[in-house]
Amino acid sequence: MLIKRITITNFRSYYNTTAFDIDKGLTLIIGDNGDGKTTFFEALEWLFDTGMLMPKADSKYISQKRISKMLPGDTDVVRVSMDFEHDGDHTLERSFSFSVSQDGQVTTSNFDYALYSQVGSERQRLEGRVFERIFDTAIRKYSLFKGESELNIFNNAGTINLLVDTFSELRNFEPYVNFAEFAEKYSQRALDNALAADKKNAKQAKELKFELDAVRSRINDLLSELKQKQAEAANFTTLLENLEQNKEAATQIKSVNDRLESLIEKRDRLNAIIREDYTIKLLDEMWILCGFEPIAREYGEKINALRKEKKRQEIKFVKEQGAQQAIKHIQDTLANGAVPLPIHVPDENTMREMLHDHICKVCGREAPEGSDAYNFMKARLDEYLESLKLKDEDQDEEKLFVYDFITELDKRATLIHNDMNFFAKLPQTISDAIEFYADRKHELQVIEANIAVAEEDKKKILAQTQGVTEEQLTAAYTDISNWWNLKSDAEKRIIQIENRLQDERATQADLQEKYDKISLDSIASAMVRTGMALRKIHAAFESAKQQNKRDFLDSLEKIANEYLQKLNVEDFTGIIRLAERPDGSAIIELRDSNGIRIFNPNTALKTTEYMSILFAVSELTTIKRDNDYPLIFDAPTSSFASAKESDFFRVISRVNKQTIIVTKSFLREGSNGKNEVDTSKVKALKGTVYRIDKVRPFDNQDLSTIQTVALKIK
Amino acid sequence: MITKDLMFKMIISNAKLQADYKYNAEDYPDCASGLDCDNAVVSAIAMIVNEISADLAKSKSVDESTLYKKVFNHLNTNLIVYVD
Repeated sequence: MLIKRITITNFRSYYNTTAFDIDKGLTLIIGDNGDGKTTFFEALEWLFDTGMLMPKADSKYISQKRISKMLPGDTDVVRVSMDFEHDGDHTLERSFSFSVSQDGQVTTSNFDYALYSQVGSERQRLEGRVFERIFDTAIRKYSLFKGESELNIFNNAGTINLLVDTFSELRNFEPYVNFAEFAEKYSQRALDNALAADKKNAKQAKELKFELDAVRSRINDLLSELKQKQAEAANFTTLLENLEQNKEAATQIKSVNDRLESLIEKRDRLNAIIREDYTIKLLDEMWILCGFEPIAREYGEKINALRKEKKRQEIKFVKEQGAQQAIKHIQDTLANGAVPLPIHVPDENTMREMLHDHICKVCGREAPEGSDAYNFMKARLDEYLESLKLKDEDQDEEKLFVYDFITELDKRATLIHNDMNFFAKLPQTISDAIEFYADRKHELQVIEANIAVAEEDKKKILAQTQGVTEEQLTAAYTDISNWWNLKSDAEKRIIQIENRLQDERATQADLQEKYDKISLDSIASAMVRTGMALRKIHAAFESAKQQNKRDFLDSLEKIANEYLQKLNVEDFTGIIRLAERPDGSAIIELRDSNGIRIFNPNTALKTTEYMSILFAVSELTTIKRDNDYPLIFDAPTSSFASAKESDFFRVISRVNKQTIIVTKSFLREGSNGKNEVDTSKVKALKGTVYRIDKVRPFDNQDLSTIQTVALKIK
Repeated sequence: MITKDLMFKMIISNAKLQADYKYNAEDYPDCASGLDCDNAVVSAIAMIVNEISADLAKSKSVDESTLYKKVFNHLNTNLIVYVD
């Protein structure tokens, strides 16, 4: 398939119709960011999407500029078409109509996908899916690439196996090999049946067949185990090779993990310290108490005043009460006509002595019992004793302040006064706490940033390890000896199995010879020869299939290395090796001339490695399928240095292969500050070059002002 | 795509087959020449390739039993002559 022209109509930024004449060799489409490079690529993806089963007229593809220019009732079309040559001229076209209604709504209709074949001056319509046979999905997988990262398709064995399956024609062998296997099996069965019917040899043939079946079964078991052990050994070899190559990465991962562990520990510690419980701790317990100091002082002053007033009133009350009692006593004394002695004079003991001795020791006169003097003294003692009782009753007497609240308030004022220092310092305490937490939060931010950097470092390290996981790298420190042992065990077992296989095959050959000899002597001799021939024919088909695969890998390897040399002018390239694994899968490796595997080639080398394989696949397809197809890349050289990029494009433009590349290479800043094409570099290229650009002026926030125009500059 | 002639050539070029059944692969440039030849193994291979490729061209699945009987009978009838 050779593309001749691509036409884009009203597809996103491609307002009205823009056409690109495509060169047989290199077509370069140069544009700056936002100029429509990716849209060009997406237009082709949309056109090639044969898997789109249901008609899909997606309004997101419509040029906003076109819509803005349309009046209600107007209709136009979105179309991407490709004129190409493949056993004659064809046009592949995908389109749909769109119209603007009276209320400004955009509606789509008439989705169409068709392949047209040019027959003379007539255009004959075929269904769009016929295109699948010309440019099938399997090939497209190796044809369209958006960015350097998509070139990385060869990183897994599955893709390479698909590549082998698709292009090596292994699948063509399947019906032949299947039949040959079937024929061998049935001829053997026919022979067994014939021998069983031959009375002369039946017994011996039966015994030999039994032994043969047993040996075949043992061989199958050994082959199965051999395959498994070979895969194990290969796996451990690759793992150990990768680890050896990634020794530095393993050290770095360990260092990064140690750093991460320490940072996470610090983060947890800080998180535990930071207690910003503003609602409870600060508001209820601290903030609200900041204004308490003047309240507490006022409270203290008021309580003090109350206390003084209470004292004053108490004194006054006591005085008043005392005066009343004194008046009462005076009144009592005056009633007897004498100046009374104090109630406690003479004291109780003296009075009891006087009564006992019947004498008044105050006046010195006798006072016999029953006399007036005696009775006076006795009454005086009784009065004294009664006065003692009166004192107790006084305690329950009326008080001025019954509940003593002021004293209680006073006590609290004293307690508050003791805490005044705490309240005075509260604003400072809060400020210190906030500052402390702010510092810890800042530390936390720094630690979080460090964690992010460490995580990023880890990703970068792992990106360079060719699929070796972090666990494997980490385990390298602990498990490496174990892996060596497992690899060694697998290899020892492989040798044992191979020796046993050799013995078993010799036994099988011996038994088979005896069986064939009996058979040849029997009535089934013709069947034996037929069976042997079918066995050998089966082996020949199997052998041809394997040889075809090996030839394909060898051819691919050879052509890919030729491209690799061409694409890396005066630069180290290494050698691409397509190695077959014991399980039948293939892997792509880059090795130096001494066979040492290059695990981490720079991105530019890796890109050229993959592109070389793509070119080789394309070339082999031309040879094997008699069908060429283009390679289409979007920005494949973003990691290339300027000089390497120029060399790369110069080589690509001289390769006999249709290649379309959209890129922003070849642009340099012009005198007016606007990017312009470096014409000297473009002149050095062979092929067709387009410059795509936005129509100016435009509003960078309004899609309806964006329009891509293409100018053929070479 | 492997043509039937290419497939035929690949199989008859097998060194062991050539040695065991005493033929030279270069004597048979295409499948048609194999079908017409006297060597039972070469003609059996041509028969297999011819039938299967014809079925594939018609997108038909291969009728293995029928083809087996045909090839088996062909070999059974003709092969004896060539074996020592």
